[in-house]
Amino acid sequence: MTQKKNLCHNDSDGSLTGPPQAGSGKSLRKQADKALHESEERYRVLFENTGTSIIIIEEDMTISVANEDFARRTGYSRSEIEGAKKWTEFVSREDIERMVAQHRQRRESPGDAIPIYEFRYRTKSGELRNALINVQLVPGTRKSMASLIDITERKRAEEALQESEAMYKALLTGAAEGILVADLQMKQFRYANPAICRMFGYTEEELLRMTVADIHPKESLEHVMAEFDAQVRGEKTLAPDLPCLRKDGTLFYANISGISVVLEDHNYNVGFFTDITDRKRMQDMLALSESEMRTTLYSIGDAVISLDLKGCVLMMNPVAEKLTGWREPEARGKILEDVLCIVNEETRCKVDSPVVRVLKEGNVVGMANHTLLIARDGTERPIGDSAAPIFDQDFNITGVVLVFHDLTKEREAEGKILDQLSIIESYNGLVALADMNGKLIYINPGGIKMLGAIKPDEILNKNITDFIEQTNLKHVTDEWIPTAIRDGEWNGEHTLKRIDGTSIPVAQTIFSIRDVAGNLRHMGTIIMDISIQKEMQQKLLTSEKLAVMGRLVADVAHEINNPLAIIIGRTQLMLRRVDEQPSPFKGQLETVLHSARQCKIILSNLLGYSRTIGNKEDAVNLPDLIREAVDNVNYQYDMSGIDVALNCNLPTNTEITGNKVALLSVFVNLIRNARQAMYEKGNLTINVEKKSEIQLRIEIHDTGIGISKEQMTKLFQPFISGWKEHEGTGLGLATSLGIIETHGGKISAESEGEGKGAKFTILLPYKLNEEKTNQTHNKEEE
Amino acid sequence: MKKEFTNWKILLIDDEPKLLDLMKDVLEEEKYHVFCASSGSDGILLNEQKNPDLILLDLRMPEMDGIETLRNIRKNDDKVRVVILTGYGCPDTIRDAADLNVSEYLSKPFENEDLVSIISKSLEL
Repeated sequence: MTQKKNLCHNDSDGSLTGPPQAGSGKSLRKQADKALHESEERYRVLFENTGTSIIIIEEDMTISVANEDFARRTGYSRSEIEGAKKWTEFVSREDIERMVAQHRQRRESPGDAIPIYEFRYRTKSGELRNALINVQLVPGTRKSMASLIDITERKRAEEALQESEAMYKALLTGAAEGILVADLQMKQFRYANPAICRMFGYTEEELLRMTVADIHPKESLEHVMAEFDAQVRGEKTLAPDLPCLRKDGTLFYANISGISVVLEDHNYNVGFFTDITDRKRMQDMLALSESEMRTTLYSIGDAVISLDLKGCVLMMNPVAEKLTGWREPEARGKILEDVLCIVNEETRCKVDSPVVRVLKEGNVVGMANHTLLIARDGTERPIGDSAAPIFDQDFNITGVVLVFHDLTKEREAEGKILDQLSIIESYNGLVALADMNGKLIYINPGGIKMLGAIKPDEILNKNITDFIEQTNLKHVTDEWIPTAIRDGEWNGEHTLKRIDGTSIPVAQTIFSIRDVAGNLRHMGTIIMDISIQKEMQQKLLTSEKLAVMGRLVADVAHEINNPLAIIIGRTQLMLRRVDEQPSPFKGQLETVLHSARQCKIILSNLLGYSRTIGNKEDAVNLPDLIREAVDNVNYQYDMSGIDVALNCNLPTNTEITGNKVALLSVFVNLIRNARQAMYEKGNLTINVEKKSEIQLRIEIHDTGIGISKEQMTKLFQPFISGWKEHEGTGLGLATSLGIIETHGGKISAESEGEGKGAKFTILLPYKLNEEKTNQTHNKEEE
Repeated sequence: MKKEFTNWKILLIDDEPKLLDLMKDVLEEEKYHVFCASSGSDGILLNEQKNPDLILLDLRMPEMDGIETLRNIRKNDDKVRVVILTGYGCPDTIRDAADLNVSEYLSKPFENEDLVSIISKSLEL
């Protein structure tokens, strides 16, 4: 009660507590006392029961009065507080300084002090709570009265709200899904999150000025609106696969799930947009790749069977149908072993299909070699195959693809290759392969021998340039190989360097080998030893020279014969007259005669030398000689378009005596001319028969361009060629004539004219070799 | 001592006039009747007109050569004796001539004695 009294007392001059001063006198005083009491009581009840904590604070910050509410909230008794504690003891440390300043401010210039503010107070148990305080100076005093409302709960609720709003905002802002909030009446957007802005390419401001109709293509609007309305009506939440229009006009597809919400008495639809363009594209691609795969599968040249995890057939393409003899619909669902019967080629034991291993190992598995597929109708074919697992996205095996192909052709090719290889291996020329760096990777035995080696190791891994003469190295790299690469082939003659350093003349072909795609794989070469041909050519050349010389000497001799005969004859006549009458001229005439006779001897020696060609006494078999001549021409020129027929009706012991090389050069010359006259096509007929008991007649007949009358008169004259410039020396027939004549033979030519072919006839004396049997008559054709 | 002319008539066929003259001089000294032709065709004609006992025939002549001339002569006259005159270097033609009944051969350049002895040898056959 003292507190109440005090309070009244304290407040006697305050508006809150100040009683009206009604008058003086006892009754008046009593009346006044009563009124005061009533008023005090009224205030006291109010003070105690207001539900607000109220304290009165002295200037020195001591709390002089505290109501029950304050005591309850702080946990102290009123006696512990009133006059005992300063207000600062109830304030949190953070707030003291600020509040002390207010306390002073209020007493010095009350108008500037903040009357209501928040602070945190401390209870007896040490708990800090939020309060809103309202402080007023008690009028006419330096005391102040403070009322406190505990706002801790409210504060907590506010903080929770703030937190939740922050989370909500973060959610909206950070969401990967685009969020658009549209009102239902106008279908205008009220909220757009950053994701939706990114999705559409608009800023938030732009979107908020737009409506649903603005973000979908016109042609789909009807459908979009129907979906929107359905969502509003709550009939569905997800509108799948809706086309959306970006600011730049491009289209994307979105799944939109919508929820209808009521906010501030407005109905809104919240749309969550998920861009499914990528997903859609992937689906499309998947569909496409599936159809592509099917197309590929069905058009592929290999047989393909796809199987499920149990090894049952799912699909098979037409090639697989052909090779197995099963139709796809029949085979579908069957175990692979029923459809694909494969055995070992040699043992004929059943071979496990690689499918089981694929399923176990998850790898691509190739099939064993020499596998034979037995089709439904019993047809057997060699096959090569492999099997590969099919994985899903998560690398689980979902099935197996078996690919195989018919190797029949390859086997045949292999057989052919073996045959060809055996030919190459037995060929006595050189056949070699080099890689693109020039390193030798294959050489046949003939090549090893040609290079002067014994074992392949001596040659292999060497470079092809090791066998080329130094002077030709540049030609190889700059001309021969580039030509072979460009044109496929280079042909030429040069000198081959053998491993012992000696060299031999060779004819070489260099060719390039490409794979199916046209890429260069290897360089190949074929080299022929042409030493023998070269030697032969050299001999032919020598004998031709001799024959030419013989012709010239004979011509000169004929011209000198007559004058010399006259000189000798006349001198002898003069000497006879001189004998009758001795004369001083006799000695001189004898000198003339002697000198003329010397000329005769010189001429005779000269003719004799040129005749040594005819003097050589080889026994020559004519058909063999002609065949050799044909081969010789064939070696120099392409005779493939020319049919050569050699008709020879002679006893085998028929022989010609003479210079074999010189005679060969005659036939080479005539056959070469015939070849030239026919260009590349025609018939060359050579007939050999007995003309008489001592002579053979050889006719060489061609179907070429023939010989004109004008050409005919000069045919055998030296240095006149019937061929175009550079194609003949003009010595061929003159030489042939010389050679045939020195062998006691004759040569003549006939032609019905230009374009009608030509026939050369040679007559040669022959004899029969008595040591050989005389019984066989042979007729040969080539 | 001068020899009497014999009855033997000799026809010389050669395209070289100086050689004809020489042979004529040499043979006339041996008392033969000598006629000269400087081409094959002249020779054929003179053979018909003079009907000689022996013809000395050069093989190598322009236009008509010795073989052709002889072939023509042999068409009408298979009796006249023929000596072939030839140079070194054409032995082939001798074989051709063999078919045409030739008595002897004489190679140029020859000695006068060779000419005379071959002629007399042929006439004595």
